[in-house]
Amino acid sequence: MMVKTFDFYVRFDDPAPRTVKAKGRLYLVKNRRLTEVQGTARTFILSEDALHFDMDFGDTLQLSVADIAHAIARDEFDCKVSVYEAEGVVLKLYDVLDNNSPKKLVMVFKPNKGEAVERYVWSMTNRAQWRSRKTEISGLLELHEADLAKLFPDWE
Amino acid sequence: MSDSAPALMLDRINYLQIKDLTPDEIGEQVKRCIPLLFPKPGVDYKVHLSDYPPVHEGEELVTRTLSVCPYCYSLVTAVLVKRDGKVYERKVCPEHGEFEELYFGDYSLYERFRRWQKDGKGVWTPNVQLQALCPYNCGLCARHKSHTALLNIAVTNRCELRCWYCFFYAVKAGYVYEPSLNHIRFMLREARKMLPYPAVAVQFTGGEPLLREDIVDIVRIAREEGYHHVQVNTEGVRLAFEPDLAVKLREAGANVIYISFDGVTPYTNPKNHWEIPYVLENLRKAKLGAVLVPTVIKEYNLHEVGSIIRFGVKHADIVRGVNMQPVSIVGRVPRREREKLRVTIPDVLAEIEKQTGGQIRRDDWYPVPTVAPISRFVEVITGRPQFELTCHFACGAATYLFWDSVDELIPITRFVDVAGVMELLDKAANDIKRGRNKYVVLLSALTKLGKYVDVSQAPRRFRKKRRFLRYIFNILVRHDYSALGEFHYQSLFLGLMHFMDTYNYDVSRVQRCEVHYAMPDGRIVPFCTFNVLPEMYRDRAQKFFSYTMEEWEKISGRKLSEEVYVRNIKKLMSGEPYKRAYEGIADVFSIPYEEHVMASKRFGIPVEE
Repeated sequence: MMVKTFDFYVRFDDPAPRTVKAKGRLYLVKNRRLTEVQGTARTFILSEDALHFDMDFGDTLQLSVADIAHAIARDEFDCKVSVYEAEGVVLKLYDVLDNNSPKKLVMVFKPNKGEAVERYVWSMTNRAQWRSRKTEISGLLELHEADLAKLFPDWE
Repeated sequence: MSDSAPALMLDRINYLQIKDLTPDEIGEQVKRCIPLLFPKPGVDYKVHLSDYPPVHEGEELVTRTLSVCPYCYSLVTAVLVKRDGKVYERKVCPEHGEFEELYFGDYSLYERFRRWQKDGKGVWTPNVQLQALCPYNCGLCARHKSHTALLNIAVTNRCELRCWYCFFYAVKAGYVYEPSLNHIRFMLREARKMLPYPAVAVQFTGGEPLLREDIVDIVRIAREEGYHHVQVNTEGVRLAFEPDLAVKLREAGANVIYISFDGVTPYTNPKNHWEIPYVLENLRKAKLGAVLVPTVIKEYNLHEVGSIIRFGVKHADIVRGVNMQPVSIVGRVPRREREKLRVTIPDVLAEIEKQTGGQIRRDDWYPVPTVAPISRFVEVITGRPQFELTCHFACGAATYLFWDSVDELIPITRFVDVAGVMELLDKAANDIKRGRNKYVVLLSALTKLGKYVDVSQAPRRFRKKRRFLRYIFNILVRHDYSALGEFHYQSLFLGLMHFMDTYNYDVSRVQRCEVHYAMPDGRIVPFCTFNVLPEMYRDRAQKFFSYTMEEWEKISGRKLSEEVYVRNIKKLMSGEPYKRAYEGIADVFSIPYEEHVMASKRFGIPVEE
């Protein structure tokens, strides 16, 4: 299945000021262990990446390509897309600085008929506490909770 | 009912099968239909995001955004450019060519308004999964930035008027959309589930909602479901002739009647010029407030915006506000024709300034999100999420008007430093968020409030300083809804709400929309996708959950073709309310009777002669 991550910096003032910086990582689960993988990097193409971008950041940061358009006007959108071909369940992590406020986004995808289907997203709409999230995410990844927790030392 | 979606008849279910189910059962059935009704990529729209339109010589790029093609509704890139002190939107559809439209008639005002933009906390309880680009994924989806400030529910598509431009009403549409009471209750409940702030204000609209015999029950249901504010949007004919109806609506819990009012003469308001005096009279007797809602069109009634405001002030004992809506252009209209119609918020403000002799100036108006600091201040004091207005700055503007007489209009900005108050509250909220003691901050902010009110410039009845400050104190500290109500009774709310059309569409605006429609399938959709992309939203969903005309006539025992209002102008003009209503505003009796008749007929409303 094809998975993308986005490393980007965006700043816009219209209609409202916002600056967001995000860096993505992708992990595969092999033998019940997380392994970070590298994708093929390329530049962002609005017509190809718009929906994927919205799916990663619409629900989590309320950031969409409609916002990005305003940043492109000022040449303040810099984005590298990493494309992965992955098999099995994957964990996508983003470290984000949103108007100077640090955030971490967590997503889990599983393959279904060759497509990456989102099984979990740390979103605005999912407001559970870390402990129950940890159980849910590690269950989906079939990992020990302690192994997952190593990625989130600040939350332990 | 079975577990599968109700039996489909091409583009409609058999509504008779679900109308009498409980709200929960209806919800279960209609939500299964959402995938069938969702906009289909490649069928309903395409996505063209490869290039941005050019910026021409002599123009300055303001920003870029996304829009739709007015002909095929496909998603396209757009630029906003500054030219001759105005802001224009330009976009190119690879299939239908270039479109350019006036977006905002004054660049300096665009910049002043933009500085007040505040984004909301979004919607934590989306009704649909994010699976398509905006605006083909409504809703609401997790991208949406504002909660519902006003929920609209269309309760019928029947109407007794036959306005020439309308293709929406049942007889022309060929079906009757009229959700059952339990279906309406389901829609109301869906919007009450919204977090972080559930819908608290609802407007029943149509068609003509007062044609429903059970409209009073509908209002009552909204109250039962927890709505604090209930309004009914009407052309007013039934209210003009049935005094008891206004009383029943108020007793059931209606707060205000939203009524179309396009001008002070028969030429500019052929829709209800003759009925409005009787509507106001009956609302007055029922003690039920009205908001006048003029649709402003450049070559049609822009020249009367000042008179409309004076009419509102004259009837301010019962008129709570005037909410003007610059025209939203429907259908394929050539550019030259659009230029005769198009007005934007700054154009209307400029005309108001001119027509009130500078009594209401452009700088007396603020964009809607200006008041967001009030919500944030109350939120940090109470620790509870608050209702907040965070639509796009280009969507709406408002001010409050006071007066010593109809000829002495005093906007709130003449005696209250609105910007100063909002900055004070914003700073106080931020201080509390950063950890300062909230009681210390609250006390400090309240003691400073007096500095922002210059009572010497206030209307005479407010010159006792404490009276005005007491309202503000009660609103901010006691969070007192009745204090807000009393503030409204002492003033006239003036608003402008510019709903978009396909020519000036801006996805950034629609993502911030806070005037929503409850769809019969449980989705909640921004006003400007519901009405601007009707084939994908409004019409598709309403048709799907409708009766055939024959079914409706059989159930009701009435004929749709006979539901036509015929106006008796002579009788209406001879009544005392008509004689008083326009006195001092427009000399309506100097207009020959024949011209009254012609104005009505030309508009599509027959006259009894």
